[in-house]
Amino acid sequence: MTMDFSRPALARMRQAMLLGLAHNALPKGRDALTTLSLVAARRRCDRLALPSSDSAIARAPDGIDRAGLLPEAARAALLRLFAGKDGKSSDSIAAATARVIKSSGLKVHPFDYARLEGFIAQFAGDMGPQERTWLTAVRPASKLALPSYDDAPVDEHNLAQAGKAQKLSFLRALRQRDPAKAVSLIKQVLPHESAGTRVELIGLLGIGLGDSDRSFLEEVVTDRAQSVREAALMLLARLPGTSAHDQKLAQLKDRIEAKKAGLLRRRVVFSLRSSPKPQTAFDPLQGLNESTEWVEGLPLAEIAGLFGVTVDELIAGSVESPVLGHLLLRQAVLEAGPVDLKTFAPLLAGDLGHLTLAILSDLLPRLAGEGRRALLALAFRPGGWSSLPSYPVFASLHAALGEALPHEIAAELLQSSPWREAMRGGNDDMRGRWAEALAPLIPRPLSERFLTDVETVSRRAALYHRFLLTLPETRT
Amino acid sequence: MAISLDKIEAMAPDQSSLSAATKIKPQAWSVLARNASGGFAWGECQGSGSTPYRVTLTLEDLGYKCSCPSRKFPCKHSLALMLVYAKAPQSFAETAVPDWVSEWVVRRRVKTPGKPEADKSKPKASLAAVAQDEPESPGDEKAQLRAAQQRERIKAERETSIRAGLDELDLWITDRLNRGIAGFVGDAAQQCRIAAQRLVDAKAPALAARIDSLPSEILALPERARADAAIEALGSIHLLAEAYRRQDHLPEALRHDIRRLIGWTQERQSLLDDAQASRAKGDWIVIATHSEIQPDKLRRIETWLASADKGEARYAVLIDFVPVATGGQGSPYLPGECFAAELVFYPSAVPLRALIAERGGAKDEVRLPARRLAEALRDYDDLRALHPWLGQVPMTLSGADAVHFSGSGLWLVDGEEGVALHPSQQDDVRVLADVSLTDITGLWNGRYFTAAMAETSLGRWIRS
Repeated sequence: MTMDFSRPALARMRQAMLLGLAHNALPKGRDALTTLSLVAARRRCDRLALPSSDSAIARAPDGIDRAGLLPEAARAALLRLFAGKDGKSSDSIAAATARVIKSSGLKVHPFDYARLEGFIAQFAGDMGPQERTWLTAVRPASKLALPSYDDAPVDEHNLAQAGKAQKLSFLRALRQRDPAKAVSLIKQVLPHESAGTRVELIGLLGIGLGDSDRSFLEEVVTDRAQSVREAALMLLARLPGTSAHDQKLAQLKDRIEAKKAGLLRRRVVFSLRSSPKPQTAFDPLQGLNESTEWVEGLPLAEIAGLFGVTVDELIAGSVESPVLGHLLLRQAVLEAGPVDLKTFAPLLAGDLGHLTLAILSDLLPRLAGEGRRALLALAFRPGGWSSLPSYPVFASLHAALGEALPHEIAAELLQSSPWREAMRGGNDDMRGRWAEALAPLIPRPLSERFLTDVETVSRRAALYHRFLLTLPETRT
Repeated sequence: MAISLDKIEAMAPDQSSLSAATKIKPQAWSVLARNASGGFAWGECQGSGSTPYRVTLTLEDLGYKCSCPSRKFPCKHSLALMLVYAKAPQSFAETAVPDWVSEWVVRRRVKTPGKPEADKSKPKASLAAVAQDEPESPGDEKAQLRAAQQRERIKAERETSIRAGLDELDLWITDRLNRGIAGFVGDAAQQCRIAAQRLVDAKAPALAARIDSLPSEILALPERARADAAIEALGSIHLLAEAYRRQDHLPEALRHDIRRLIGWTQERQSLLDDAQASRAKGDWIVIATHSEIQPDKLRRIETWLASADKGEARYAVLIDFVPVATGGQGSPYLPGECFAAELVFYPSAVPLRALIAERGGAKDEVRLPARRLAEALRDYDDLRALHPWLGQVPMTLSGADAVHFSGSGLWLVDGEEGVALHPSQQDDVRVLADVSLTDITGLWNGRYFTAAMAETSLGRWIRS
């Protein structure tokens, strides 16, 4: 006896089976199980119908990303770094790798996207358009977190509709390019923002602050929120000629203690008076953070004038006071004036301290080229260290630097006795952590040298430098 | 098999084992040696014990053995020996093979090139091997007879038990039908677990595993396809039960398939020794590996192979089971690697599952003949007519493009024909839609195509 396999008959039987009514729909002479087997066998012969060609999504245009692919050897190294059993994508080696790929102008091979998904997602901003297109396709939620590649870019017309991060990012860039335009846009959006966002928007005026910002800041000091008023006053205090500036100078004079010192060589030494908050006396780093604002925007010449000394005398008298010395160093670097940074050498002698590291973390992202090189040469002197700083120090330094150390400084580090002793002694775990933290700071020309030290110490650090060596030299 | 760092990494049970292996210093190895033909290497590594750990490694298939008490497989000593061999094979001296090495190599069942001949005077390692020994004296004939009768009795009891289990299974399926398959889909995990346990009790372990894995297979599909998949699976299981009852009326090869699908097994050694078994000798390429943990805490490792034979592609699958507790992650083979080997196939209406009877050396490349999609699909339908429970079958296709359809995902399209890429790998294969495919090899299960390897305008793509 044949069974009716027509589409309507099968649909009826299927529906009956789904609802538990199969016994009512059985063909004559068939039991439920036989019918089930026949329906199953018939269904196995059906293939899914090919969708209409109208719904086919066009291929990505060939011109979407003209960057070349990473060489085969680099592909293999990349996969071993980020798709293997220890493929973490959140350390400084991962950040350095993303940066190197970006600067090389090459792109990740599309066939590796799936295995490198975590890495690509973590550093989507450094990836090319093709990687980002793929990422938004497989992780639709990541679209929001990505730079505005697919979305309409933020401009002055859609600024009000943009998210907070996009808004701040756009205005920060505009402030660097066109300060007056940025102020006019901040004026427009300010009334519609929350107090927290208003504080951040006002903070953007700190970039290239000048007299032209004064009138706007004087308007903002009447803002309804105290935090916004304080932010505006803080900026006004950096502008000479304002009452807030004079007040700030007077406060600073009260906070700095000048004393005569020396028997044979009489001189004036300066130090900060104790902070009003007792805990800062025990934590110089916190002291530095809190007192940074005391001198922010005050030219060194004006500070020296408070005590009737020259700038050089002020610096020479302050290098024995770590917090004040570092505050003045910071100010000198930001002023980029005629002050010879070598005057601060006594302050920075010896081991790399937390204060120096904090100053480096603060200043390095703001500096470029020679200024950055000069500050590093002054503050990062491995030859003078008694021991290698802990590995988080190198991780922080890399985060601030965003690139490898200059060649000569990295070479000095690899030749220094603290580094050699660290690689010879200590336990395996510690050596491995040092190697991993330092790997992104070592430039490619020193890769071979670095590899001889860390090959057996840290697989990950070695892999990173093997990756660097696979890239065309001109690209790194 | 060339020992590469990638392969060693893939074999390592976890990162800490790999790290620990890299930290074993060269001085720790008091012995590093290999046999003259290069089939295997061994070493003695000073660990925390008083005597050095003895580590042996077969170079062709990366088999390993270490005397340390570690419960990780491979242990750090085995990984370290592999690493030393991969980086500096010249540090292994060619020496005479010590007894502890040759004993282990003999015990391994896969024939390794250059392995020493088994010492017939020594006892066989496995019970199965012992059972196949010739009787030593006429006095043992009675014992042999008794053992044979015992085996027959056990077999008959098992047959009875399985048939009772299948009857109970039919009742269970009928019950599911009466309650409605729609409800079954929502509660399949619990219901299938109970049915599977009963089948284990009935000594039908393979069928039990099939039912136990049913919920995960259904849930891997889009929601709209689940009810139909459940109908298809339950119908197919009933058909299998019915076929088992009528196996005497079926062709011999299909009968083997049915019995295997229920849970009867064939000893590896008996298959290797079977002169009548189908064999294929040639150069093979690993087209895909797949590893999954079964509900019985065994890891099932599939290694799919293909070779070109007189202009036709021949396919095979090696299936291994290892306890999850050993930490082994997957196949010791990497997709894309090629080697010479003779395979022996389990008897089947569609012979795919095989064992390596003899391993040869590594090969550079194996090019697979490709077919058009329509032809490959017709062939699959023909094979399914021979073996109604046929699962995945490899196919190598030319002239197909990966096309992304809005709302329907990725498909392989060749003219009027098209097959959907498996839902579980839609993200992985998305990149194929933006390149030109020369050919593509994958596994077709009658409904979805799982892409495994493709030659493209951007080079070879291998499933991650």
